[in-house]
Amino acid sequence: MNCKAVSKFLLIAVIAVLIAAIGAVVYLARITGPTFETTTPPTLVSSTTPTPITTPTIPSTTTKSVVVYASLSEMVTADPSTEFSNSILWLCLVYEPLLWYDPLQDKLIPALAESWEASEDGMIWTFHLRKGVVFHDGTPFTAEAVKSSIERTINLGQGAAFIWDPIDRIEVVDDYTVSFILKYPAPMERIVASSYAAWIFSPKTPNTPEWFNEGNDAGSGPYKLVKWDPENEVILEKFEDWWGWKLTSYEMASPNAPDVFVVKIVKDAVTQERLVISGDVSIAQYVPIEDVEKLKENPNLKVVIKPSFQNLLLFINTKKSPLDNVLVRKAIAHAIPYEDIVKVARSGLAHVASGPIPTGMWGHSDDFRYEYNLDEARRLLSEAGYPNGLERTLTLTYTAGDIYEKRTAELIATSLKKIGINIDIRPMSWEEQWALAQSGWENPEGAQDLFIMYWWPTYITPFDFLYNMYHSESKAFNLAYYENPEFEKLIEEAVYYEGIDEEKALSLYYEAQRIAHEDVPIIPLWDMVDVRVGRAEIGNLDKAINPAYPTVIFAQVLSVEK
Amino acid sequence: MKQLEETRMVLNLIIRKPISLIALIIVFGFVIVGFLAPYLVPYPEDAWGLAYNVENRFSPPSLQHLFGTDALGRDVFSRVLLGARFSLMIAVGVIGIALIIGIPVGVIAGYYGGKIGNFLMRVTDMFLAFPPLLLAIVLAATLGRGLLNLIIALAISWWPWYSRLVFIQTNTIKNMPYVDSAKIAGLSTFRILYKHIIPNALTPTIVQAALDMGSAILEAAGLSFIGVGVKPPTPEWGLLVSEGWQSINVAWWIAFFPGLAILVTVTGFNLLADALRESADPRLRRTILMRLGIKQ
Repeated sequence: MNCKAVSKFLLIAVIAVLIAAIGAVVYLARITGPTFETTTPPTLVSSTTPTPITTPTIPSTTTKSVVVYASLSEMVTADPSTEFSNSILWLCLVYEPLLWYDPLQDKLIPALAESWEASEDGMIWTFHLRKGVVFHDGTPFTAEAVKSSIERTINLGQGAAFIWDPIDRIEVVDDYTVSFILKYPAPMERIVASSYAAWIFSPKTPNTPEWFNEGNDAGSGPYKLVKWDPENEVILEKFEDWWGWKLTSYEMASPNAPDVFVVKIVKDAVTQERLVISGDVSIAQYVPIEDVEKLKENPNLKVVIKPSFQNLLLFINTKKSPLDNVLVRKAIAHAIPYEDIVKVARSGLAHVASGPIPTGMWGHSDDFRYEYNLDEARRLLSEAGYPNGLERTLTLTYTAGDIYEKRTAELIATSLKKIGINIDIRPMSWEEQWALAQSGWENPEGAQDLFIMYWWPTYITPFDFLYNMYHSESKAFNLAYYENPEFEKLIEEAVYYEGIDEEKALSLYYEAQRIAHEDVPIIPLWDMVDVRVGRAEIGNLDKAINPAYPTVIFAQVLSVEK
Repeated sequence: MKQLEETRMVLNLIIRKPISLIALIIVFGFVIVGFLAPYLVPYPEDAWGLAYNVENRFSPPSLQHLFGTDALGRDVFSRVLLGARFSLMIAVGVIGIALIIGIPVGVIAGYYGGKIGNFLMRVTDMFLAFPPLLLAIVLAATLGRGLLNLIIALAISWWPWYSRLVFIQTNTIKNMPYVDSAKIAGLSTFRILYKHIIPNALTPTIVQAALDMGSAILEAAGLSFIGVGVKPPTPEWGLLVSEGWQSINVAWWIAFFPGLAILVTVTGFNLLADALRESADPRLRRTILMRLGIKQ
């Protein structure tokens, strides 16, 4: 019976190896779709799978340059008015706003609008539109399209439609001039450059979300949508009639932009890394952060590190004892090892947060860090009446599967234990933990005590951070249940002055952040630094990344050889 | 007396076959480590996830850290060692609960038959209709993460197999003459079940349960790996593998050693179960005895 025992051993060995290599299996399953070769000379190559590889619009005989971008998350919807999620990744290539915004240079880049002006009081904004633009369906672009697109977005009222809230009405002055008449002053030049809900699309579009979600596009951008398979891949092809290709020096266009841009869903960072090393994808959205140093040494790869406006914050349930005591919250803030978290969770690729506004964004100040000091934390805790620590174990939830949040949570728990606060770490799915946190408005006792969440702005303003996470009207994301009328008055005033007097707005935002820093409803942990890894032959990768449009690769500025 | 002899014989058989002996040693070692792990680990704080060490991340295996250190600078050897305790708890817990539910259901359904039996067995069939691992994943995801939830989820997907087994045995035994005579003697039903039926119906179930220990460990590790098992920072083996998977390119040891622990333990349990089955089966036993040159 030895032979049987040996075969049994082999069987179990195989099973164990299989389990250990689940990732590889996932990877194989993900790769059964079309594969594009991206090495020089880049050719569109069909794999041996029986499924149709290319749409008929791409004749497989001609040589086309292809860039494949691996995205960690799948797409959900494709309607430019309502989409408020991962599709930003390709909407930015297929649709255009009136203006783009480059936050690192604090500069607006003309897109569909060439110039603009605001009235003295900031109540009327007039945009002069670009001539000679056509939509992918052949319709010429006029002021009427701007009006109908934005009005559709406002009327549907979903996703990021709130950005248009200041608008009272839109007036078409002539074919190439459009005016926004506002209800209150607002920085329209930045609002029209939002990363969501700011897209202009053809007025000849069937006005239904279904039409968009079937994979149709109505944009005017440099690429058109040719394949929409939201769970596996999205394929874009160059739109030859795009106005930007014809301009000689437009910063948002490159003469060697890829002919085909593929967004491939690869849901695992390790797999993405393998694929970009082997050349099966050209750009990886996420790689395991501790591998970055090693990848930098690889001559076939280029690692681009850029600031991002995404940060990670710890929300405290301010309505549940003993966390309703500001001294306890302060004690927690002083017991978090911020530097160590950045080193461990992000391998150093992050900044210790200072206030909720991320490093590098306007409105950010370096004055709002909490010092990691366990003695101070213990002192605050005994001042609050808990000299021996808290009796109750606090629950901390984070999004299951997010390795950065997981490590952050583990370090927080380890450190808080040193001052006598026991933490029960609970990984949950995002929907589940978000719903639980929102239920805290009704029943704070039932909600978690601590909650870790990312934030990134819809358009680049401190108001987006301070309103959504700290204002008591924002029931969806103010998950600390913080209510402070003084704070709310300050930020409401600040956003009013944004369009009129930026200095004044800045000082009001500073004051609001100072109050939040004292009240500690939320402890900002770290501001993310973005890492993208691309093949060395992909030129201009650095230029193709803009923190105002997270996760997007602006393919039109890439440079690849034919 | 006869049973004792039987046990001695089985043990004798196991020890005489080298591969079974190795299996026995592995299982025995696993149980001992499981019990004593908290006293054996070199870095208890690392093992329980109570400490981290930023300066010592990803150090390769050395004398100081036999299995290297992980992303938080914790000693992998300590975590794997303590993981044995959780795996042991899971194996015993799952099989135990499954037996506690499965045996009564099977015995009652088998003995009474009729409507009650039909009802109980249809309920059992309902559970059997789902693929066991899938059912366990769904249950574990619904209950939420945690050691106890994981054990409950696995036990619920496990018990129907035992109740089936017991049901078939009871069905045969209840028509035996000694059961009839017990009835005529006026013994209570409970006594008949307890004294005459259960002891005789149990043998194949116990063998099956021993055989399943390894599978329970493997499935629990699988659930933890995909993120519906225990909560971090519990050093459960499946969770350790999944933590290490993220850093497999810079530090292979973080995922490798817990994986190895799973492989060795599960193999040990399966080989031992094989040996048990062989010795419990009279026909197989005779061929082994003949090969070993022992006269019966």
